[in-house]
This record gives sequence, C-alpha cells and structure tokens, in this order.
Amino acid sequence: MSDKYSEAVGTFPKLDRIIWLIFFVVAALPIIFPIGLPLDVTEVTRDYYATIEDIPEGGFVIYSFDSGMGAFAEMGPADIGTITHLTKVIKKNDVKVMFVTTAGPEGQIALNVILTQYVDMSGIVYGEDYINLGLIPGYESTLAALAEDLHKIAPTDVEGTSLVDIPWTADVRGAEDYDIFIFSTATSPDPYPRQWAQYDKPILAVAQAATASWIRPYHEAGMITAYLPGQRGGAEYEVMLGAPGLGCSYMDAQSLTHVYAILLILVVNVQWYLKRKEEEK
Amino acid sequence: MSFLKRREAVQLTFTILVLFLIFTYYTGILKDVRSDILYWAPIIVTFTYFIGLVNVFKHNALRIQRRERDWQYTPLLFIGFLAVFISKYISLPTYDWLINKLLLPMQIAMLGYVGIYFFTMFFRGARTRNWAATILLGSAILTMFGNAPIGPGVHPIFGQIFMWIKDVPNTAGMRGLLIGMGTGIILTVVRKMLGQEKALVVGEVENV
Repeated sequence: MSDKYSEAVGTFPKLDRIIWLIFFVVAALPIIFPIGLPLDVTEVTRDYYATIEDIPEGGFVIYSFDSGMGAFAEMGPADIGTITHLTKVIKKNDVKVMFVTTAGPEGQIALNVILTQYVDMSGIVYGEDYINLGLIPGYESTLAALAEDLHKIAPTDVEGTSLVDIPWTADVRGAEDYDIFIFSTATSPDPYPRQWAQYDKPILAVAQAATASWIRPYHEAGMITAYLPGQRGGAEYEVMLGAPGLGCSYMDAQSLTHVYAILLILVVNVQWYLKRKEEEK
Repeated sequence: MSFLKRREAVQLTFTILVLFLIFTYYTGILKDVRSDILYWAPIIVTFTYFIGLVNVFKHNALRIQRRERDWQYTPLLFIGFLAVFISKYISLPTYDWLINKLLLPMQIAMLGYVGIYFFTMFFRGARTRNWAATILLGSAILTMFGNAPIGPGVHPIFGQIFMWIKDVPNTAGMRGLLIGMGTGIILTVVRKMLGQEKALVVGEVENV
C-alpha cells in the first residue's frame, strides 16, 4: 500500500505540492492569528435578520435542514447564526420552531451537531419551544406534503411523540398555520420556492456561495424573501448578531486565499504571455 | 407478459396520476386524496434506501469474493456501516464520537480537497487563450476580490463591481437557465405522458 501511495503522490509535479503548501499556510494562519478585516453587511443579510426579528409573538417556524456535514465549513456559520437568532426570538416572543429533514439522513446529523455543540440552547426546552420531525425522505414531495397536511406526513416527532399531544402542534395543519419557512440546502434550492412560494409566507434560505446565484432569481421575483450565501453570509450574520464566530474567522482566511488565487492566475498568465512572445520570435 | 409488466399499464398509471395531481393542484378538489398520494413518496423513498443498502452490500460482498482490485478496502465499508448502525442503538457516546471525530472532519476534509485542486486549476488551466476565457478570468478575479472583505477594504469600487457582476450578468444568466429548466421539465412530463420518453417510464420495466 505504501508503494502505491508513493507512486500516486509521485505523479504530482513538485510545483503543485508547493502551491498546496502555500495554500495551506495562507488559509491556516489567519484562522490561528485573526486579522479582523472589516466586513460590510449586505442588504439581503439585513432583510434576513429583519424577517426573523419580525416573526409574530407565538409564531410558527418550519426549518427544513437539508445540508450535510460535507458543507459544514461553508454553510455551518450561516446555519448556526440562524438557529442562534431563532433561540433569541423563542425567548423573546415565544416563537415555536419545527425542524425537519427531507433530502437525506445527513441533515439530521449536521442539525444535531449544531444544536448540541454550537448553539447555546440554555432555557430552550425540547417539546415546549422546538421539536424535530427527523428525516422524512421524499424531498420535494415531502416539502409539498408538509405544507399541505402536516399531521398526515408527520404524525409523530423524532422521539415518537404524537404531534396531537404537543399543544402547539395539535392544531397546526399546514402552510396556512406557519409564519415562516426556512431551508438550508447544499444542493438545488429549486424545490423549496416551487412548493412553498404559493402560500405567500416569508421564505428564508441558507445556501452555498456557489448556489447563491441559483437563489437570486427567486429572490428578485419575491419568491424567496432573503438568503445567506455560504461563509460570507454566515460571517455577515454573526456581525448582525453581534457575536463574531466561525464565519468571521473564515473571512480573513478567505481574503488571503482569494488574493493568493488571483496572484496565481496573474503570474501564470504573464508567464504564458512572455513564453508565447518568445516562441513567436 | 403480465398486464402489470406491460408498458401500457405503467404509462397509464403515470399519466392518470400526473393529470390527477395537476387537476387537484389547480382546483383544490379531492385535496385529501392528493395529500395521500404525496404521502406515498416518503414510503417509496424509504424502500429505495433499503434496496440501495442491499445492493451496496451485495456488490461489495462480490468484490471481496472475486478478489477484485483494491478489495482489501471493502471490509472497511461493512465495518463502518455496522459500527455506526449498532452504536446508534446501544452506545450513544460511541455514535457521537464516530460522527464528531471521524465523519465530520473527514467530510470537511473532502470539501477542502476540492479547494486544493482549484488552486492547481488556477495555476495550470487558467489561461487567457481567447476573449471568452479572458472575460471569464477577469470576472472570476473581480468576484473573488470583491466577495472577500479584503477587496472592498482596499477600495469600495471592488465591492460595487462584485455586486454588479452578481446582480446583473450572473442573475440574468441564471434566470435564463431556470426558465430553460422549467420548460424542460414541462416538456419531459408531456413527453412521458405521450409515451415518448420511454427510457424514464417503461425502459426499466421491459428488463424485468
């Protein structure tokens, strides 16, 4: 096995290994020694914050948590920020939150990691303030069913308690009883507005920076109220919450790695241009 | 051939269901029946998980039996699956350890691995060979610089350029793509109902 490994590593030219090593140093250093570059909060992040702040007293939030651990570095800060904010409005306005996962089992793993390790859940009681429906596979069909008839698609929560026995879910039937939809996805955001926008309730999205461009047309059309794109969105939300965390520390690293990437592109193109000129002679 | 295995039966079931769902969606009539049909999806998907599990086990057991290339790694799959599955029910601390100390860092590392290859790509593939490539690279540079705090920190114009690229050409392109996708979905459903999309509706049935 070790021979095979050496053989495989040996196929990468030495220059690539140097590029990777510099990348590693450039990404790691600002996380260990934060620079604290100032970060402007965009309007869409302010809208996201305001939408959660404006949830009415006793309001009902449905949060479809469909991103996995693979995207945690990218989306974790935004998800942590959103749930942290929800805990605040739970305490302030007696808001109720219902988590669910529809796309695959990974969402539940990531959600549990965030709830147990990253968000201060003191004073928040399971069953009284929030519940988790667990994984209900089916993705888009499940999203449609959750909006149409909650008790039919999810008769019990993840612990097996009937939704009829939980006072604040007993009378909730579907989208008309929800005050806000939130979703977090590392893949296609299409199914969410497609199934939920018809109910004319605010929809918030947490997405990867790469899929933010996918969300933007829905946002401009008013089908998605606001969204947090990747690490940048998470960092901006931490600034809004007044609690810099993972996202802000990643931003310094992102600044330096982006500059490194730009330098690589420029250097290689200047080198290529000069080489071409020389060949033409 | 049994009637249920005939393509007409599958075709008819699909078409009736689609037409019924469209009808109830727009009229609200028989909404409860529609909810029942939507409720089938999680049940079917749950069974597909089970089928997937059986196939993964079967495929990998055969790999070991046939001593196929790199078969030595395959037992790790069984060990990993059983460790997570059993620990979830008999030892939650072990399960938490497996998730937090193994799965979480490994999955994050996989995403980081993609990032590392991006840097090789920047170095080896990012050449301004023609005008299209130059525009692509130029917008990539401005986007990277404007998205990270350092860009607007150097000069606010970089943040504004980034916002313009994001809000105008990028959104316009994505809007066109989404309209194309939506039209494609509608056309595919119509083709399926007319029996033109055989591979997706009846192709598999013919092999039963």
